[in-house]
Amino acid sequence: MFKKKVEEKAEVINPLYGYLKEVGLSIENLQVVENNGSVTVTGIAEDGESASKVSDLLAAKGIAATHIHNNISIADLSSLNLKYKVATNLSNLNCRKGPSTDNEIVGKFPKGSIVTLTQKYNATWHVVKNDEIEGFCHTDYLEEVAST
Amino acid sequence: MKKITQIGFVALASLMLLATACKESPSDQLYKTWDLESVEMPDADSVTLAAINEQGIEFTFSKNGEFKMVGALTGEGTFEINKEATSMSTTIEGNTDMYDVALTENTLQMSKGGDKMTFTSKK
Repeated sequence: MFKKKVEEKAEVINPLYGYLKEVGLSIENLQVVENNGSVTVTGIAEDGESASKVSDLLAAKGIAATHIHNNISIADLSSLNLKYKVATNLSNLNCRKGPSTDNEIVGKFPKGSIVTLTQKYNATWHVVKNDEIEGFCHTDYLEEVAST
Repeated sequence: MKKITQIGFVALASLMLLATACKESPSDQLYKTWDLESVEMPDADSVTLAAINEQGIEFTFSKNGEFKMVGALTGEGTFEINKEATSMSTTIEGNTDMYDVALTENTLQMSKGGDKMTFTSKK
């Protein structure tokens, strides 16, 4: 009886919170605090795209980028035990320190091997791991394995 | 003498039956006005919750199964509570929720998952 009423109230008391909720981003424990013109947003996003979209949405509302503190973290999906197969054509798959080919290679996953998803950083890069290494891999070379 | 004793016994038994029939069930303690002392809702906007906790809300539960909220939040709805006062359903604007309840003469706690509302009876 209560939660819906609280959400309706939030749209009045904290319009930016209501605005971000209305958009329907997958963000748990979303909190939006305004203070002296600055807006701080916290929560746990399902993936990196949802997290970064918050900044775009607030900018669209006329809030200067310098006044947006996007402290949303990206969910750790390790516990879901989602598996991906390394689907490179010939070579092993580079595992990188960050989400771009400019980042240092920390190791390689063998072609055809199975890795575990840690984080969906964005549509192009996921963080995956095996028993030895963990890092960013390009999603073009990862095939989701159906769970048994 | 025997007849007087028999009448006395029947009278006593009737009184006891009447007393049992009239005995309050735990849920009867609900029917009054309550002050919302605190709300815990991990998923809700903390700014809004702080405002609600500061401004306060009065809940009145009536025997006819209707309740009313006045204060930081307003609204009316219906409710059903079990006799043991351990669970309650509330319906407001077509939305029904089930709560675990802990009820005494002076305190009421309603919880659902990680959400918890604590009330004290209005003096």
